[in-house]
Amino acid sequence: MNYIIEKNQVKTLLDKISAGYEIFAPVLHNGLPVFEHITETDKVLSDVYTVNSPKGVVFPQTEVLLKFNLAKNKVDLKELEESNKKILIWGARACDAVAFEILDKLFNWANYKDEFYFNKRDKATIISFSCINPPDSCFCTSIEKGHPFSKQGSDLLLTEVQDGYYIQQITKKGEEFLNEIKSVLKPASADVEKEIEKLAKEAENKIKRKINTKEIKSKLDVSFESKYWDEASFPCVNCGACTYVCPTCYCFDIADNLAKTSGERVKTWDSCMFANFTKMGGGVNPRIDPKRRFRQRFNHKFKYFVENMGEPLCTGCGRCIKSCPVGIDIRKVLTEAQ
Amino acid sequence: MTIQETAQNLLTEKKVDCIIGYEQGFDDVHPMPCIIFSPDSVKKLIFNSNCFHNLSKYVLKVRGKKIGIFVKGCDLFSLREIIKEHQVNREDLIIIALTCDGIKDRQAVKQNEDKLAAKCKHCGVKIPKEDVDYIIGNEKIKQITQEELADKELLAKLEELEKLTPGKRLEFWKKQFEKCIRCYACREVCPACYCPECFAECTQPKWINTNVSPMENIMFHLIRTQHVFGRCTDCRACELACPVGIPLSLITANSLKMAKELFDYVPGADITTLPPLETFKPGEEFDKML
Repeated sequence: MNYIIEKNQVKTLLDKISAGYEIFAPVLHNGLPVFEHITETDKVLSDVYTVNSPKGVVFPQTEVLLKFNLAKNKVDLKELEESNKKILIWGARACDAVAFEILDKLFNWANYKDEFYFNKRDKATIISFSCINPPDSCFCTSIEKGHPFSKQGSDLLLTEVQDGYYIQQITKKGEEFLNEIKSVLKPASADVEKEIEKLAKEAENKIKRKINTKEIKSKLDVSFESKYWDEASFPCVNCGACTYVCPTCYCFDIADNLAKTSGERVKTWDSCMFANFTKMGGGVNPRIDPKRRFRQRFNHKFKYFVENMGEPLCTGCGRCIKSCPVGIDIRKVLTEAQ
Repeated sequence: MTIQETAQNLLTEKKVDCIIGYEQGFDDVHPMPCIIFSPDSVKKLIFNSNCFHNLSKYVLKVRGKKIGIFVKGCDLFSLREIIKEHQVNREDLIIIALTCDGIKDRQAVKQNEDKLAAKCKHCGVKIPKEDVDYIIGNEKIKQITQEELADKELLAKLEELEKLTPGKRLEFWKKQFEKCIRCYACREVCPACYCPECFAECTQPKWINTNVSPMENIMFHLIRTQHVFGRCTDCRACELACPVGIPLSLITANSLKMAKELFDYVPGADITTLPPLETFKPGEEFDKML
């Protein structure tokens, strides 16, 4: 049985499940759609392109790892309160869901499973939207798993059709969620599936700009010392916007924040664009200048990660292109690398 | 002369080592800053109403070289401050002023609308003439009247904010800064922000945490605002750079207003008067600074 959810039923759906779920969805802030933890379901947007990616839902920008009190000659550790609610990510893009697959692999790598990531990830149901009209900055079709209608990583994939959003069930988790919300859905006619196929093909053709990841890898293999990076990195101001809106960038830093007799250990996102990123305790910094930091980002995504994990650290969502304050285009930088 | 011809001559005659300008980005409405070293590359230089970037800060990336730089009127204000602060020698610069009838509002551009940026509606430097070596472009652009110089809408908003109780005002700013992702794009594009190590990165002592929370974010912006006070020219590069649309112009416009009221100083208006917090005149009322 296939289902459709009518657009005006989205609020009903979210209200229905809100008792059991923490809901994360796009809402408008200063006129820009951003992902956030929501409490007012009437403000939720569905099929929009958010500034930030939903990666922060399971890998928060700031996460307290432990809290402690300092007493005389001893340290008391405090238990952290964990919410027992499940997590719903509503309104991810298809490419955002692909990113979760990449992050899952990374945080469960070489016999180490990151409990902080998986505590949230295991509880999360991901409901994505396919892209009927991908914007100019998109290049998901250049990535192996990527496609405007990609099912990878999503539990349910929704596509806008005439009567609402057509629901494609992808995983077991998706099926369970579907059972919870069945009462707000209506059955879809059998020929919708055909329409979806057509829409998918059309969307794919709308993405004009492509990069060849294999060719890029071989270029990056030999261009490390190239003068190319001097010129390419010139416009870059070394802010962290590209890395913080990216659905796959995962670098983080751990710090102890101390008050007089108490404190907390926190994990926060970090960015290879920042000067402090590779600064050692003794003051030495191997990536001392902006060029080296700029070069690192592209090499990490399309060379080192490919070597270690077999795929690029990129889903082609184009957020870095849109958010860059100086208009740097990752496709251009990579294609012209030599 | 066109921008290409000017750049061509300067590079060929070896008057400069490099030229800082704009080139086409990933589409027509996204130009990019660029640097060129060879006369062969001048053809990629462009200038249009989407060239919103303030290029002045880029001179710091090529310190020590002879630099040719394209500036709009607003960018020139920032460049003057950079020169006054001895970050670059005026003799090392060839300043090529671009007459500018305003750039397009970035939010509107993203929605395919054609709208002038707010700051450009009140611009008094469409044809920058002082302290420049060349002027390129239409010198007959219609200037705005004295009356139009003040952005009444923005000033009214500032007044409104000032009328709030401190608690309510904090609430307003908390709401704005809760979306800040601390990417520091505002700082990195700011021509007045060039400390080799920012207080936000300093770990010994640690002034602020890396935690992202409304109060921690406000701390960062508060300190940054004070650091650039009296040097900030209200060029709005920070607001344009912010990926999450925080209305930073409310802060920069206020900063400009206070510099005028307290010290009768307009940052970047000329190339000789020193910023108020960098000088102390005998007889000056000390309490103004606090």
